[in-house]
Amino acid sequence: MNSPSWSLFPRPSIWSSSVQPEFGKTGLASGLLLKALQNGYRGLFIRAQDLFDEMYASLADRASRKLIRRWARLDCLLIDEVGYLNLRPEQTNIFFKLMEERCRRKATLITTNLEYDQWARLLGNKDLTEALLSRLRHQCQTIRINGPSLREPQG
Amino acid sequence: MTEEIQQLLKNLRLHKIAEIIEGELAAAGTTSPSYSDLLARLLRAEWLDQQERRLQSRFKHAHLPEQWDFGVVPLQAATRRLPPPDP
Repeated sequence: MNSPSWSLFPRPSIWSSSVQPEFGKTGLASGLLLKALQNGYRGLFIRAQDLFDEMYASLADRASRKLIRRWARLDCLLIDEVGYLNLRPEQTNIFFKLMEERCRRKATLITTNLEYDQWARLLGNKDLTEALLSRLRHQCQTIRINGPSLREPQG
Repeated sequence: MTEEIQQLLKNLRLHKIAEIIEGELAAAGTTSPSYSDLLARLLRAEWLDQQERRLQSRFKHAHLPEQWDFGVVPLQAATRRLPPPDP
């Protein structure tokens, strides 16, 4: 990870813990983002809810294209906690466009509790979900984490 | 002369050199390094400072969820909290 040939670039990576939260996905993915920053790459950590909120807000002032361009330029984008969110079709479309722009060009890290077959419930459009996942998974590394929760009561 | 140098350094945005040049010139008066050594020393300090400021800027714009020290890798922090593997 000390050189531009870092193996994750420009591949997407999905960090998944099957059911339970708090396995440390965010910390581990943030660690990769941190290393990317230290090695001269530009990156952004954004929670999925904030990402989709910004996408929806951009519709009001017709700034979606500008928003996609801004996020598509980042060397490493970490989208945290993609889960069951109530998305509108417009948000799904913008998310698809963003992933299409970044695919095979820039690194994207996604942390989620969802299995791939559950993504259609999140995005609400089966055909679009299949198209999105085929792009995402083309050169993707999926890392499944299992183990004890990091937030279990101590002592 | 010093004022002119300070102004030129400010115009060229060489902030670190502007900060240290007085001390460096005073030290050079006693140790007598070569011109190239002194110039390399000043430029190296400026380059390192610019790298540090760029890194800080990237950190600021990345909006990481926690404020980590530059030396701390959260990967290590996260794995430290995991129980040891079963023997």
